[in-house]
Amino acid sequence: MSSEYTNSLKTNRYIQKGLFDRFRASPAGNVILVFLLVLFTCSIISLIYPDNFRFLSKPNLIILQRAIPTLGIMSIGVGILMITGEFDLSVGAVFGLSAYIMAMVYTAGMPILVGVLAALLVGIIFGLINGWITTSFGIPSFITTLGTLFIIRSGGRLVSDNVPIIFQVPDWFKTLMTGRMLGYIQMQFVWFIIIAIIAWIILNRHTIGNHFISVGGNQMSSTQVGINVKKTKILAFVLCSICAVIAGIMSVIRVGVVNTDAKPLMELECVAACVMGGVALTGGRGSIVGVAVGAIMFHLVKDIIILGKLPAYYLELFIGLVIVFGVTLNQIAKKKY
Amino acid sequence: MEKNKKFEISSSSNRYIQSSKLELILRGSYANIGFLLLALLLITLFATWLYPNSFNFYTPGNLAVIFQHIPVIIIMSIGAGILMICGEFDLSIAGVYTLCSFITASALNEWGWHLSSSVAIGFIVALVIGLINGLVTTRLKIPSFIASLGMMFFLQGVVRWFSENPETGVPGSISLSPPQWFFNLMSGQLFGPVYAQTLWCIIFAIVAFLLLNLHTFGNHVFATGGDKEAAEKDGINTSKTKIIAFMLCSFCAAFAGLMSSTRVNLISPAQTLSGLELQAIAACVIGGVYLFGGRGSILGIFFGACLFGIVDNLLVIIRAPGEYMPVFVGTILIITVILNTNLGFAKTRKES
Repeated sequence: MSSEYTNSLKTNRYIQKGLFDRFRASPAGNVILVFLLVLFTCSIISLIYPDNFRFLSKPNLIILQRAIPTLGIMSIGVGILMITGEFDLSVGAVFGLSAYIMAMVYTAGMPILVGVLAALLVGIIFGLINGWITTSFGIPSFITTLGTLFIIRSGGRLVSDNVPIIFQVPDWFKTLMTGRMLGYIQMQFVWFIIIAIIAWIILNRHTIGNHFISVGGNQMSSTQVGINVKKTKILAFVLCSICAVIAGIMSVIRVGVVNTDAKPLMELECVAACVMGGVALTGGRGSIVGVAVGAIMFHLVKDIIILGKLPAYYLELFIGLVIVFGVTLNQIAKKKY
Repeated sequence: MEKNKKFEISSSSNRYIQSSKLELILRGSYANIGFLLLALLLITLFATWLYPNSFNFYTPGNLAVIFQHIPVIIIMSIGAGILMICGEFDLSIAGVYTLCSFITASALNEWGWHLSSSVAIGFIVALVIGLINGLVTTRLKIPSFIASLGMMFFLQGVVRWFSENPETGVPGSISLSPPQWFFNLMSGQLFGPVYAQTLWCIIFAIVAFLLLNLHTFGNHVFATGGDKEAAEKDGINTSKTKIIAFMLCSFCAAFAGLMSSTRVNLISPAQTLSGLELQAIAACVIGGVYLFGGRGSILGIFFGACLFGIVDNLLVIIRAPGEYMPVFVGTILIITVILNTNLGFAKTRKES
């Protein structure tokens, strides 16, 4: 109790420090700085050697915009949940299964919107189950969602029998979700930005966002000021699942092939992106901008490795280092400012 | 305020004095899982009695499979479990599991090293990885979940680097092909369905049990996991304890990897993606290890890992689709944790 009090005294930093220090002390400060630095360096190199390092070329920018939103949208959901102080390891499985269900409903002859609604419904149900088990029985969400990860992933394989579905969505839907605007802007990226803005508004300009942060920060005092902790947490779980569903649908529409056996370890990549973006693992601290930038950094590093014609294993080496390094930086910033 | 709470906890755990022996057993962290395992074995006995021809659980062939396969999970889970009792996680287990046998195999077959030195280099690498995990966690004050997540990605990259064919750039598998005596030592047949792996896992379990229950180190592990600040005030070097636990965990993973690759004689880089780390954590949690540290027992971990392996085997025997295994594991995981949380004294611990 008393240590928390001194902590809050220390965080008076906001009053005394300058603009730059305040920026660095904010959850997303470090990652944005690093991101801008990397972006700047890449652009400069790309301008000097336009033939060897095609960072600013049109194909590369479009590839980046296609790749980022999947991880980005999922990470935003996971980030909100982590700020609320809980984990979701089952997002990777929800991601695969929901897209498959959408394709299944659609190929059964239903309109595409019904398919999307069905997928969303499945996502919401899984979110409710995760939230209900975690809050009602008081078991750590790490365990709950580890269990549902096993269940949903293999349930998906049972549903799909490991046979991929090949389908073609109507043109208007395809254009809406994955079309291109003005020659340079992919719709996926636009959706990513829109979802990030909505999430930002929820977290920073709405009461429920206040509840998320305070429940993650100190559950007991939130209960004492009258916040319904259980409801808040379940809502965060549902939001997280919805984000995973949207990412899942978006990722399969363009290619038109869906299999429930999507990428393994997707859930850990999301956690990594959030942590890089300054979300505290214990909850109560984090920002949507940081999460979004964390997800972008993930793909930026990948892109640089491909463009620089480096061996592919550098990617994992770098991501491993970046995670540890990023968290260390955030820790130092938290202590220093 | 803090003091009051602690007092309440200690007074409510006074029930140990009043409870009967049966209640005491029921409250042990391994009780639920032990009964579950017992029930499962009874069911298999019953099923064998009813359908002696189609239910092949107790045939020598199947028992041999069980006795060779389960020890790998058990040894890995023991390492992960000690670390979890200490209050930390290791997600890099699968990476260590693959990388160390990979290095041993390349040292033995490609660099032409002696067997002993190539096995030694494998274990040294494992211990160094454990040391790094521990140092990063304790010195940089990063949650071990993150530190070992980083290590997990890092090791995936290292394994891919090792396995890539320099000309084509395609990752490939490698075979260990050790001398016969080493094969016998690691996975030879002793008698009937009992293999060397079985013996190894029992040795590991006994050593871990002694270490955890009769050695000072075990006390330190429980104290560090239970209440880090109190442990520090008692003069326990919690950083050192944690680092040693990390190294033990890596060592166990490397040993399990070496054992498994001796038997299968093939080490594939795809093993890093197999989700072994989550399986080991799940086995520990099923076995009653408290996720935030301070509570758990080797017997429980042993039972948990056994349950994992036996269910896997049973589903193969009744020819269920492979997808049922994770469904079952997930359900058991959630149910046992609910039981452990609501029956055991985990409930009286301070809930964060």
